[in-house]
Amino acid sequence: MGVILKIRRLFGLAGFEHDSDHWKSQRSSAIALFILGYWMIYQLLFFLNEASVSEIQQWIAQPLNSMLLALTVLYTFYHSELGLQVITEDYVESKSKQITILYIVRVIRLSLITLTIISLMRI
Amino acid sequence: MTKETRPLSPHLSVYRWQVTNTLSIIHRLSGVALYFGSLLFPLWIAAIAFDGYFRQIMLALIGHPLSMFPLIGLTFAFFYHSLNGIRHLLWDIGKGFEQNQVRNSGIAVVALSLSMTILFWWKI
Repeated sequence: MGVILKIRRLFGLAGFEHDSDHWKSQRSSAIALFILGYWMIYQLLFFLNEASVSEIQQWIAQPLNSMLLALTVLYTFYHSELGLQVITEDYVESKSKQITILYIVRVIRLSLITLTIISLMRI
Repeated sequence: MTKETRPLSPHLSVYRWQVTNTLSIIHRLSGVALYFGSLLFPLWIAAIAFDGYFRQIMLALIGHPLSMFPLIGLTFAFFYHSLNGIRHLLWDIGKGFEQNQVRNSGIAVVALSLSMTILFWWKI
């Protein structure tokens, strides 16, 4: 499996995954999100809890913070979609409803990724 | 579309409730809760980036006293899901499968995630 395909999947620009691809992606995104999630918790506890809007903007303006924030959003919605896909397949009987739900989740994901990137570039 | 005839997977209503399957379903529920909570994450970033009504509404919403309860729920969901995820990853590599190990690690995850939630909100 090529690295370009993996990157496209992270950005939500590839087809829905199945079987062993899904299984591996769910685990690798879990590990990435674990690290990024606790980075975010650390930042919330020690920097962002009492920061004003302009202080948060300065924090985001740091290249490393900006990059890790973007990666956190990307991995959050990648991992969420993989999880929601399993839940949908388990509990939604109709195949067409499953596909409808997955497309709605994908559209929301692409919209929010776009919003995140535009927002980060403005700061 | 052809209708699938296979049965739906986890029949929640037919299992006897015990520690292991309760924690398993909480893993899924916390995952779904985290999905809906994380929809706020890009909106928060946008509120920081764009001045105007949107920022005022978002910051008022996050700062509202009543918002604390869903936010506490979300932090618990995060700690629970991330710690329980370690159990799942360990099972994937074949570790911790003995019946008492599964039970004890589950109880440990609940205790740890509850105390981390309390510590987080005490510190913040």
